[in-house]
Amino acid sequence: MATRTATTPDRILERAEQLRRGRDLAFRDQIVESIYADAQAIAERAVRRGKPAGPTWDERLDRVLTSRLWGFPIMLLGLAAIFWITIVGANYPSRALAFLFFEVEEFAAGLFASLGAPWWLTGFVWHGVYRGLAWVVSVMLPPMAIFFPTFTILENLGYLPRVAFNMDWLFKKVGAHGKQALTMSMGFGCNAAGVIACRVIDSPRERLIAILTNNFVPCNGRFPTLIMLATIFVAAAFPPALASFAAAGAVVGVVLIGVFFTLLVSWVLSRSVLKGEASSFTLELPPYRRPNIGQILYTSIIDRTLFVLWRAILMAAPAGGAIWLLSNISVGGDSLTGWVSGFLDPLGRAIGLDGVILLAYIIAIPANEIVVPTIIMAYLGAGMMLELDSLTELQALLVGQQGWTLLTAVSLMLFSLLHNPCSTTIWTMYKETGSKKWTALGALMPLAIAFVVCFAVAQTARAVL
Amino acid sequence: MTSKRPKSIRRRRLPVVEPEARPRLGLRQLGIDTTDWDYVVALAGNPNTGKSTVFNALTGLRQHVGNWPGKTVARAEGGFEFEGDKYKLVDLPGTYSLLSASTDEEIARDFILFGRPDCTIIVADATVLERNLNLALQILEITDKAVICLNLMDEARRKGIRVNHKSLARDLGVPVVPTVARTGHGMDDLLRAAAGVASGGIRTQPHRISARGEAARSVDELARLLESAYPTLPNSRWVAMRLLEGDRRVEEAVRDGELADLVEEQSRAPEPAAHH
Amino acid sequence: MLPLLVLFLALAALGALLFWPRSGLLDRWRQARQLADRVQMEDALKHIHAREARGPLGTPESLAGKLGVTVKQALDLVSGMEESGLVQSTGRGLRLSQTGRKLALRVIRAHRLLERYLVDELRMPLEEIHAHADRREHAITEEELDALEARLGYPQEDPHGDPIPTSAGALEPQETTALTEWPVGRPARIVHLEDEPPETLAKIVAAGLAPGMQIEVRRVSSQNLVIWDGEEERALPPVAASNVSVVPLPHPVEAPTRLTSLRPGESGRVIKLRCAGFSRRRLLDLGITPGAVIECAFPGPLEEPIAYRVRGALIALRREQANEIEIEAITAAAE
Repeated sequence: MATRTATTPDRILERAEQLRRGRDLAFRDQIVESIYADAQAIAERAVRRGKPAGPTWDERLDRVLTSRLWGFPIMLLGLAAIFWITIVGANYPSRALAFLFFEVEEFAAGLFASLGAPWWLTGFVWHGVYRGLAWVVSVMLPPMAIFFPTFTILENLGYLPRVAFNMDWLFKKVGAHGKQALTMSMGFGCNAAGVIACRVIDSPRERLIAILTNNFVPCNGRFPTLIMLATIFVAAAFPPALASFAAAGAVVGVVLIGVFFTLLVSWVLSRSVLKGEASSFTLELPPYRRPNIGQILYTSIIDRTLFVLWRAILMAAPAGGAIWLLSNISVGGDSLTGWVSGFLDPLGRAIGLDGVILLAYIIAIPANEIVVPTIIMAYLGAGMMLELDSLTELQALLVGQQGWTLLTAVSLMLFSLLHNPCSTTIWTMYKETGSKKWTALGALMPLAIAFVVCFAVAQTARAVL
Repeated sequence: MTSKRPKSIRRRRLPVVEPEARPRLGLRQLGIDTTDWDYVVALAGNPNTGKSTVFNALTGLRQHVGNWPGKTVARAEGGFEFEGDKYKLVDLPGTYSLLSASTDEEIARDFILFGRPDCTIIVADATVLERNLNLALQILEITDKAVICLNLMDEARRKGIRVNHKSLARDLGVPVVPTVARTGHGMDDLLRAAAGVASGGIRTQPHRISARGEAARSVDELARLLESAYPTLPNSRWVAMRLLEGDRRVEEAVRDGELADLVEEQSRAPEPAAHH
Repeated sequence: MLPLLVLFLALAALGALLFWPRSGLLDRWRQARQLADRVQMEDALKHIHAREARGPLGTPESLAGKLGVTVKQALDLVSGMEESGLVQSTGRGLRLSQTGRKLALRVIRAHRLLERYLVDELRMPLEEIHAHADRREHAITEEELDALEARLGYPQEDPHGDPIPTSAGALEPQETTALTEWPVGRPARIVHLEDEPPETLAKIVAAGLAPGMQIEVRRVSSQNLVIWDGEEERALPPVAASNVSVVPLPHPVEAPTRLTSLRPGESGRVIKLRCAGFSRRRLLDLGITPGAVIECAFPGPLEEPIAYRVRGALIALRREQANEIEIEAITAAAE
C-alpha cells in the first residue's frame, strides 16, 4: 500500500520531466527509429517483391505528367476539358429544366389567380421565391452534376497531388505552400470547402495565406455566371462549331487570372503582414489508383452536388422573395430596386458594371449562385413575364434592352472572380482562423481588389476605345 | 485561444448521471451517441489507403456523412449490422503517425485513447506496407482491440508485391485481413474479424515496440511507475512514451484523473459476453 | 426633444467609449502604461543579468544606455526595483536578488523559446527573430510559454545556441571561446551566435554559419578569418567572428553529404536530420529516419521540388528540406 500511495500523478509527471530533461530531440528520434526498425523487420518478413520488368505504370505516368515539357500543358488541357464537358453537357438539361420550371410557374400563378388569391401573394410566392429557386436549380444542377464527378475522378486517380507537385515551385517563390494547389482545387467546388481543406497545410503562416486567397478560385456558385458570360459574349463571336471551345477557353482564362491573383496576393502577404520564410514542405505522391466510378458518382452527387445545391436553395428562396419585394414596393413613383440601383449606378458605371449588378452582389452575399437570377429579376422589374428558357432570350435582354457590352461582360467576369467571398465562406474563415482580424481581411481585401481591377480595366478600355 | 481551452474541457467533464452509461463514458465525451449501438468501431489509417472506400464498403453507402463544408471534416460516421449486432463505424482522419500532434493526429489519437472503441480497424496499403506499419504499430501500442485491413491487394499484385498476411498477423499479434475494398473483396472476413475482436471472441496479443538505447530505459522506468499507480492500465508503455515526449493532453489526463477514470471504467465494465 | 435625445445618446456613447471596463479608452491607456512599465523593468532585469554573466556589472548609466532613457529615469527605475526587492546596488554595480534572477530568467526563457518558435515553426530568418522575440516576450503568459515549450519538443537551446532556462529557472553556463581566440587548424563546433547587434549577426548568417556546425579556421588576416566547414571556405570579418563562440570538436571536421547531391536513380542511406521542430517530426513520420534508404526518383517540371522514394512511398521535398538531410551514398557495388 505504501508504494501505491507514493506513486501519485504528480510524482509520475515529475519523474517524466526529470527523465525528459537533457534529451531534447534525441528521445523522439529514438522512438521513431525504433518504430520504423520494427516496421522494417516485420515488412521484410511479410513482403515478397517480384523484380518488375522495366518501369511500372506509375513511373511511366509520372514521367509524362510531371515532365518539364508536358507537365503544364497537360494540366491546362485537363482543366479546359473539364470545363468544356461541363459547358456542353449542361446546356440541354439546363434548358429542359428551365422550360419545365417556368411552365409550372405560369400554371401555378394562373391557378392562384383563378382561386382569387391577391396579386401580391401570387407575385411573392411564385414570381419571387419560386422563381429564385427555379433559377438556381436549373442553372446550377446540371453543371454541378457533371463538374463534380469529373473532378472527383481526377482526385481519385491521384492526379491532384501531382498538380501540387508541379506548381510548388511557383508557390515557393511567393512564400506559400505547394499544398495550396490542393486547397485551390477544392475551392473549385466550394470556397468554404477550400478554406477547410487548408488544414492539410501544417505551417500556420502558409495556411493563413491559403485561407485568405482561396476566394480567387471561382467556386461552383460563380461558374454559372462565368459560363453564361463566356457563352453569350465570347462564344457568340466564334463560328458555332468552335463556340463551345471558345467558351471553355474563356473560362480557363478567367481561372488563370484567378491563379495569377492568388500568387500575387500570396506574394504580397508573405512580404507584408504574413512575413516569413517558406516552411517545410513534404508532399506524398500516392500511387495512381483506378477510380471507383460507382463511389465517385455517389459521393460527388449525394455529398457534394446535393449539398451545395441545398445550400443554394436555402439562400435563393429568401433572396428571390427579397428582390420581388424590392421590385414591387414603390416609393415616390419608383420601386425600391430602382432607387437602390439608381443610387449605386455611378459607382457601378465607374467599374464597367451598373447599379443593378452591384445591387445583385449585395443581395447575393449569402450565396453567389443567385447573382444572375437576381440581375435578371431586377431588370425585368415588377410582374413582367418573359420566358428565359434560352440563352438567346437572355442575350436579347442583356445586350438589346440593357445595353451590355463586351466591357460589361469582362468587368463582370473579373468582379465575379475577385470580389468578396460569400457569407458561408466568411463564416468558415472565422471558424478556421478564430480571428476577426484575419476574417475581415479575407473578406474586404478581395472586394477592394475587385473594385480597383475593374475600375482600371473599365477606365483603360474607355480611354482606348 | 488558450483561455478557451480549459472551459471546453470542463464542460466535457460534467458528471454523467445515469449509472449504466458509465462503461461508455469515453465515447460519450467524444460526442458519440452509443444508445442504439452494440459496438463502436473506429477506422484509422494513412491518407491514400482507400480508407473511405473501406468505410463505404462496410456501411453500404448508407448514412455516409461527407467531408464537405458545414460538416465536420474530422469525423464521418456510419453504421452496419452484422450477425444481429449493430455496429457504429467512426472514420478517423487519415494520418501518417500519432506523434506529431497536428490537429488531425490529435483527433485520431484522442478517439482511440479516450474513446476506447470496441475495435479499431487499421487500414494499411499493401503496396507501401512498411510506411503504413508505422501508424499501425503506434495504434497497437494504445489499444489491444485492433484488426489490420490489408487493403489494395490487387494493386500490390499488379506491382509484383506479394504480402504474406499470415506472417504479418503472427508478427503483429492481431487479425490481418487482405481486402480489395473497391470490389468488396474480403469485406466479410474483415467484418468477422472486427466483430470477433469487439465481442472478445478473438483474443489479441499486439506487438509492442522494442525501444532502443537510453529511450528504452526511460520508458521502462516510467511505465513501471505508471503500472504501480494504475495496475490495470493496458498501455502503460505508450502513456510513458507520451509523457516523455511532453504530450500536453496525456499529461492533463494523468494530472486530473481522467486516466484513472478510464482504467477504473475498464476494470468495472463487464467483459462484453460472447454473442447470445 | 430630438436634439436633446441625440445629445444624450452621443454623450452615453462617448462615456462608454472612454470608461467601458477593459476595452474602454481609459482602461486601455492604463493597461498600455502598465505594460510599458513592465517592459522597461523586464528589459532592465535582462540587462543586469547579462552583465552578471559576462562583463562588468550593470550600472544605472549602462542601463540608461541600454534602455535609451536618461540616467535620472534609470536611477528612478533602479530605486523602484530595489524597493520591490529585485536588485541590490553594490559598490561595483547592480546585482540581482533571488526574486530578480527568477524574473529575469523567466523573461530570458520566454525570449529564447519564442526565438526557437519563430525559427522552427514560422521559419523566420535568424537575423530578424531577436527583434520579434523582444517585443513578444513581455506579453506571453506562463501557461502559453509552457504550451509552447511542449509543442516545440522541449528544446534545450535557442537558435543562436544559447541554453533555454527551464521552467524551474535553472540555466547552466557553458565554457566557450570566441572564434577570434581559437587556434588555426583545430576542429571546433559552433555553439553560439551573439544576436546583437543585428547587423553583425546578419553578416555571420550571410557567411553561412549556424550553431552546431563543424568548422576549422584556415587562415587569419586583418580583414578576414577564412573558415572551412568540410565542404567550402567561408570568409568572416574579425568583428563578426568575435561574436561567434565555439567549443572543441573531438574529431576532424567531416564534410556532410546531403540528399540534394543525389541524381535521379541514385540512392543513399540517411545519417541524420539537421532540422528541428515540426519539419523534423514530419520527415520522421514519413519514414525518413536515420538508417532509411532513400532514392532520388525525379524532379518536378520546374526542377523543384524533387520526388524521393523512401520505404516504398514517393515523397516530394523542396531543396531546403533535402539539404537538411545528411546521407551516405550507396554505391552500386554495395547493393
